[in-house]
Amino acid sequence: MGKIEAEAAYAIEANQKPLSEEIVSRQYGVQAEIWETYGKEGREKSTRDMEYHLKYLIEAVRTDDLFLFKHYVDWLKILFRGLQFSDNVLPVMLNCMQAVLKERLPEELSPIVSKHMAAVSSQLQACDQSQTPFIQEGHPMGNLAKKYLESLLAGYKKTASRLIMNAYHEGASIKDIYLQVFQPSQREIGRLWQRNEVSVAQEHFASAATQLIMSQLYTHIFSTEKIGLRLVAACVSEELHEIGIRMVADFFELEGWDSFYLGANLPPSSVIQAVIDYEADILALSCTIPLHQRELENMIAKVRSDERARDIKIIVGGYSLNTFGDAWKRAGADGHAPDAENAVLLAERLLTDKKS
Amino acid sequence: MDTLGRCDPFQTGKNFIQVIHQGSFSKGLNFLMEIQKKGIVLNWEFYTQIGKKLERLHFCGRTERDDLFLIGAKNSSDLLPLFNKIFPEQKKNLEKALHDGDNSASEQDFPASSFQNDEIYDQLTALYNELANMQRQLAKKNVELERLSKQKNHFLGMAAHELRHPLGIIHMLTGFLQEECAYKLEPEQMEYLNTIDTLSESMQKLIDDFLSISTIESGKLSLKKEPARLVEIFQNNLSLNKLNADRKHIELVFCHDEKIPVVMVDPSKMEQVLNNLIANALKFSPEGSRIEVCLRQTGDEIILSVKDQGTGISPELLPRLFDPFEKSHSLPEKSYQGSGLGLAIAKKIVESHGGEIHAESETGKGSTFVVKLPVETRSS
Repeated sequence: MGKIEAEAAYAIEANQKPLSEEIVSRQYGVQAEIWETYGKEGREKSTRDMEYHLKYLIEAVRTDDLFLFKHYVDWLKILFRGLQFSDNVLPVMLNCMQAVLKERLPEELSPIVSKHMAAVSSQLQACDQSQTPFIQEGHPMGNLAKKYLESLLAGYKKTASRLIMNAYHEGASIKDIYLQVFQPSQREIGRLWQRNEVSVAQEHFASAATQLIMSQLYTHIFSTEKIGLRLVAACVSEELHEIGIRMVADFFELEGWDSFYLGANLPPSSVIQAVIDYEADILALSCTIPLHQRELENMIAKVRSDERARDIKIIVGGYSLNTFGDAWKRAGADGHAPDAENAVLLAERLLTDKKS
Repeated sequence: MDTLGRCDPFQTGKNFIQVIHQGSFSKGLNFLMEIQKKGIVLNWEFYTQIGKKLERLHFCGRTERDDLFLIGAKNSSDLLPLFNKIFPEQKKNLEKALHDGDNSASEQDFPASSFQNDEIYDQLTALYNELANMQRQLAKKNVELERLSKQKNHFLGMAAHELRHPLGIIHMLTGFLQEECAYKLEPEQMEYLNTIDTLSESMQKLIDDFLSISTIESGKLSLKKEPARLVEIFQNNLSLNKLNADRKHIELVFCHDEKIPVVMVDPSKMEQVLNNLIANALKFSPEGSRIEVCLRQTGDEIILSVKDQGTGISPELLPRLFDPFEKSHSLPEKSYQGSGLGLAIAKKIVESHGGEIHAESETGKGSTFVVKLPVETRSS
């Protein structure tokens, strides 16, 4: 990250609220017929949403990653379609954003921001990347995953639990259940929420129910003989998507590791203390939302700066790191794994390399 | 409502907030109960006016039913009283977490006018994380305990098995000597032999109990059920136990209903139950007292009771009476011999037959042990 990129990012961040208000004001001016119906409440919501959009732009500028803001806009396009906004809402919004930023930012910083806006504009017609469902009946355990998801979306937690426990007792491995049922179900729910086909309450219910069902498998997960290695696993600050890292912790348990799962939204101090208290061999950190990459960088920097924890090997994962290939390197991690199974292999390799 | 039972979230939320702001918390509660009854899943993430501010609203807490989850993490100070009424457990946990945390707030601090939503959000996620981690640690401890229990049972079974054979030989050879050398040994020497015989017999009983309990706790108890006439089985058994009772000058009587149906039980295991109950009664009954064994049918149950006139059992010992190695008495250890397993074994056998066992007792007034068995006939 260069100095000028940092300056540009800071310039937007420091004026996020007034910039948002101005962009929205301009947007409402251009498309008054669309926005007037939402009234004062709607305008205030739009301003808050604009602040959120700007956060992604800030992060893209800060990391000088042309793909990051574009990826967010692609996601936003599907969201807007689900909310039944007309097709010209997004382009108008982006134009207003670009115009206001050009007018308000210092001249030398404007081009830094503009290139990200230009990358987006040129790709607004690109195909919808989220059309493919994550659950396909032809996939291994696809049928089970489909029934599981349907149960959760209908609010039938006990039915969902029965499906999983029956599958386990009929011979399905826990790893397969995690990778072929839980993981695609969670991703599919995210995709459906984005398209406004499920509500946030349904999404939260499904996550909570899945976590409960995962804990019903604990007796089987924790009975593996221990091999004397320890893992501390956590989500970075602000990050609430914790099912993935929980799966990672459980995979490590299945391989005989002793895992200490700290949870979501962890401050660096808590993670460092846990690494020390548990004498961890590996620290696994999860970052799902691209906006939280900076929290990941901050957390790793703090771990490395503490002499009691600096030597620990750090592996990272999560949607944002799977999507933005270099982010893990920029964050200072020792390695990145795309899923729980690979996380264990990576950890073993890092420890072997460390010994030799 | 649509086919998934979803309401228009904005309107529902507005209605809900209106009843809150009318100060009618009971109406708000009724509203939530109505939602529960109808099985509605609500979107609780929306914006609405509370006082002069536009708030992004979530609701803190959840229900455990399949059809309703109220999800949220931030709460408004206006909603805290309602939250406190509906979810007292969450409130307790939250308060404890806040008290125990670095930035603890006292109960009087909330709801506070300077209430910070972000702060409480962080504290709530910290509480959630703690609960999630505790759950994992608890599950791990359970697995470890189970492993240790299996190890214990395995050791117990192995040790008992190894000891059984030599003890059996000692007992057998002692018996031979008692028969063959009765007229060759001095009275004192015979006394030694008799003592060896008695002790080796009681050690064998102890070993048998250890083997039984380790088999039962390993889940390896298998019942060989067959049609059995309990009256006959118990009569034969009591005539053997009568010898022990006579030695202690205790009267042992058997009473039974005229018609006791043939039932499907493991006869040897039921004998073991009766033996253990009578042995227990004999231990704590004084000379000259009476032990009554009764067998009767009530509806679809067979009831076996063993009533003694012994020392009785104090109320604090009753709840743990059937636990392995628990005392059923307050006598000094030296004055009493026993493995502490007899009642535990009896309970496991009875429960394996689908029955139940309990004790009724008063200190100084004797005890009655009651076994209830379902009438399971061959056709059932």
